[in-house]
Amino acid sequence: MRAVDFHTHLGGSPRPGYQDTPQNLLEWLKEYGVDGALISPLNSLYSGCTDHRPENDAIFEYCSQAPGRLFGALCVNPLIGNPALDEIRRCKDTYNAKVLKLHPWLQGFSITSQEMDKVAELCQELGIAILFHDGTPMYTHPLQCARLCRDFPKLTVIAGHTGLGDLWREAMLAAQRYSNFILCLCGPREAAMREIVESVPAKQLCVGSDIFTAERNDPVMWFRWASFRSVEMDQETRRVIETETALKILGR
Amino acid sequence: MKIIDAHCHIGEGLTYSQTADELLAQMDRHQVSSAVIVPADKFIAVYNSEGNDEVLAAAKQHPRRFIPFATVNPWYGNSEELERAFDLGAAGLKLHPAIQGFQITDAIVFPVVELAVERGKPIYFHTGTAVSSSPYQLTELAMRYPEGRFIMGHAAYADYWNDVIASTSAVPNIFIETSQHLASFVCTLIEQVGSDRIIYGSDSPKTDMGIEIEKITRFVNDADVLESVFSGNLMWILGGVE
Repeated sequence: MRAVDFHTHLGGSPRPGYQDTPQNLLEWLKEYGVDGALISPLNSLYSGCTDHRPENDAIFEYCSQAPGRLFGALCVNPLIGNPALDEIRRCKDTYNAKVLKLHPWLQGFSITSQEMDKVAELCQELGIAILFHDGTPMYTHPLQCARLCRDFPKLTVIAGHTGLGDLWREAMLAAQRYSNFILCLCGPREAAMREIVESVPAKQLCVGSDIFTAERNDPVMWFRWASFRSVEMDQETRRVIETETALKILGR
Repeated sequence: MKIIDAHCHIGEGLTYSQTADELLAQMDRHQVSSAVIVPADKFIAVYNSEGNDEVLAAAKQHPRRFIPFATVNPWYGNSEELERAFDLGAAGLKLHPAIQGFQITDAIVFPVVELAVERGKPIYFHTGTAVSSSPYQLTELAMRYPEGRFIMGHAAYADYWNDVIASTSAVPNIFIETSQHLASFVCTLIEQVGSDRIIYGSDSPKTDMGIEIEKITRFVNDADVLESVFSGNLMWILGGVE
């Protein structure tokens, strides 16, 4: 496995003439030197969604067609309470889910809430990592995400955008404080990434593009990977960041 | 294709640094003929006159390569410093609400904006940081000064992308600068706002200048569009300065 894209979403606006299939996605990734991907939901990230089961099933069905290459992340909205916990358990039992994707901004909940803590507690118990959209004030500061690492020390928490343009230093500090806080390089630019790579262990870093599988959006894919790969680092550090961190979270 | 970079920093800052020679080397590597230069972080926040002197001196030494923009922190109320910098050749004003500690719509910014408008100088605003520098705040200011020429720095990267097109659609005196943002969003801006209002910038040294250029050239083929984005629009804003 050369590289794993840890930040992708299923679906999006269909691109005319392009079929969104696992094989086509793998071909597309391959063009950019990437061999695998974690695929998160898209439609069920929006706050109006309370029934996450259909998209969760669709994601794991999609990924089952490329075992060992494509990996699914489930989604729930913590605000719905017990049904969210039930859906997490179901995805663990049915699909051996390893990652829960949450988007507090779009889903309209606070990370600092009892509902979130119940989800975090269950994920810790089941060995499911939580991948957050982060970097957008006021619901997704990296330190808001990282607080869960303090209160649930066996939980793995991933900042899906490493604080984006304005909060990457905060993300870096959080990763230095909590070894179970992982940064997905999908937002900060080259000088920032250079500083992050020098300051945070490679085993706490991975890379993502934020592509939507149906759109075959080359400007997004090219930009993210070209940006990351323009940052100088030794081969072993690059291997760990591009591949090993992701595979470890995915239990591979 | 002629390339003028609308936004580069020089100076030894606290969080990033770049000498004039280092920037020139970058520009030569990527066939960039000239660049707007602004001071680095601490000189934007506090040591305005030192920062302005540095960019003015670099531009004096390399008049065909550098276009100096001055900065002043509006909290100092120092229109005198801005007047001085304009008199010494500054071609525009750079303001950074997030590190200078104001909101774009605050009254303290009006005097320096008015001075720049009176002197016919464009005003570059850092945008995209919550609370201090949103697209709608900039459009509010631009509507207050319809004769001014404003540049929306970084196209409000990151999550204000929702607002950029809607906020600028009815405000023709705002131009959108591309640094930091996604390649896909720059394509969207060119399509939906129009190539006559988009300006290439790199924000060097915080980004890789080559990637900032290629993120546009790789996906935009129209020669007229590229000419506008990479040099024509900025030259017009600057009043023909090359």
